Amino acid sequence: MDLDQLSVPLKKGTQIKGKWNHQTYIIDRKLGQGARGTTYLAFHNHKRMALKISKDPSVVSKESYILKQINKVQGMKLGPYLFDVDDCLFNDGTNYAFYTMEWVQGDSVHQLLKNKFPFNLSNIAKQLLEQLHELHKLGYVYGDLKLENILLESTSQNVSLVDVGGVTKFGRSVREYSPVYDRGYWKKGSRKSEESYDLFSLAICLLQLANSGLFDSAVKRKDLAHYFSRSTIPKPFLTLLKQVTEGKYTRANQVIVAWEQAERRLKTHRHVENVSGRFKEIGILSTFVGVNGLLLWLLL
Amino acid sequence: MKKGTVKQILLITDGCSNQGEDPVAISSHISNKGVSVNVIGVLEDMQSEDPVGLTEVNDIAYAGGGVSRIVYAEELAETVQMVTKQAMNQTIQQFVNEELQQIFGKGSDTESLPPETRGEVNEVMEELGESCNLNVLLLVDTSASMQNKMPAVKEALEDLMLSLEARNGAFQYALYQFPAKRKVVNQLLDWTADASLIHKAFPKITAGGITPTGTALHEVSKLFHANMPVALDEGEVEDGPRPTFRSS
Repeated sequence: MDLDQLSVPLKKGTQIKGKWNHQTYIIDRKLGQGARGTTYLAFHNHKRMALKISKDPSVVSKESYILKQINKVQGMKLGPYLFDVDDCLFNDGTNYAFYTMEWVQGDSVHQLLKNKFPFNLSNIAKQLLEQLHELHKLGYVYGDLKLENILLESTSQNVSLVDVGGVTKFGRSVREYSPVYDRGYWKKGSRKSEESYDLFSLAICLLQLANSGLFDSAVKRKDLAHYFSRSTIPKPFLTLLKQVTEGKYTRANQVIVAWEQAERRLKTHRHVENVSGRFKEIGILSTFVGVNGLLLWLLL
Repeated sequence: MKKGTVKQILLITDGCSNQGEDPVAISSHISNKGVSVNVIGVLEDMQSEDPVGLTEVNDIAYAGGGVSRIVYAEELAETVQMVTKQAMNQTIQQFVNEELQQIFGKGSDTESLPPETRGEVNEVMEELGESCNLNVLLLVDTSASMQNKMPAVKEALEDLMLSLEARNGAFQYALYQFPAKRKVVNQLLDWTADASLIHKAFPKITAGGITPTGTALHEVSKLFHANMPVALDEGEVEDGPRPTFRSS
């Protein structure tokens, strides 16, 4: 089976009729194309929804199963709400499985980074950490945490994780991952599903949000320290992210606390800088006054 | 529940066989014995995506009930672990489908179940994939043209070890190269569960222009014998023969 061939091309206006649950969807436009299938924006009774369809039925059943599990969380929204899972029989006799879910608006931070969108790094970091913390409480890791899978809604600044293809139960081997975000790739740990696996990927995401294209040469050079030395992320965050990639933190909520401490450190640091800057100004000013005084005295 | 064992051969090559037995026929024969044959074809840097010499790669895997991929050297690490996992899932899916047919009658498979139930069957399959024993025989083509691809092969196999170690189920692997001096295949590592051994045992290039892929496959298929060391989970007691997932 060729893994790149799981996408299902559909034209605008195509009707998708469910074989088991008898719901009808009308395809509007393509939202995304992954290695495991295609996601479309579709209408269901004039309501907009996201519809994911794949040539591999197990992709649909796995992902919808995971969504069902994580939708159960009270209080915090994890992943889009699952609406329907079904099969669709097309006119040419082919049968593909699909699922529909709530349409989460926003752009991937991967795209926003390309468009030089000014990120609020702390906002993204803290929202993601909180969501990871909730997911971990359920006994799952997110797995394939990367810029392409993080959605940001620019007006509300809400962050959401889309694509649950990598979500894995604790203790199993991580189901899906992407090279640069995978700690195994950097020889920084195993591919076992545990909290610290996601924290590592998150650190890589944040480093990239601070420096677009930081890991472009990662195929040639697999030395994480090299990329830390090139990062321009503020020092307190750099120190924290370094510790995260070294596996110092085992829980997402520990990182939230540490991130907030780093924020405070940054603020005091900036404050001190401002104050010392002002002292310098006064110094220059007084020298200036002094020189002028001297000149004045000489003239007299 | 006693755990089954998935048996695989993973062949990494960059070209056509040009000597010895027909690899496609051999592969089909091997698959009948419950071992799937998976093949990764490595492309030259400037080679097109669909080279004539590498069509054999897909034919061998198809006959061997396995998975094949043709990739450039830099994609090798990602591909090796993916092919291994995909092949294992395929074997398990066939096994589960056969079980379903026994319960629900001929023609039934996971796809004839309603989507809700399918999700739960999938969950069971995933658990099986995570916990079953896995025996992988790695067979690397070390003919002269593979020379500049060897660093990528080494890296890919080291990366595969990371993925195998992350599973819950026990695994064993062996590493063989072909062609070899005065014989078809050369043993670099006998069956072992020690992933760290892969770092030391790395194939050197064999000079000469022959690629006896079929004969090499035939040779290594004999290594899945009845009294090979059985990978055991800690504390598990063996009694009687183990079920084998057949890939037919």
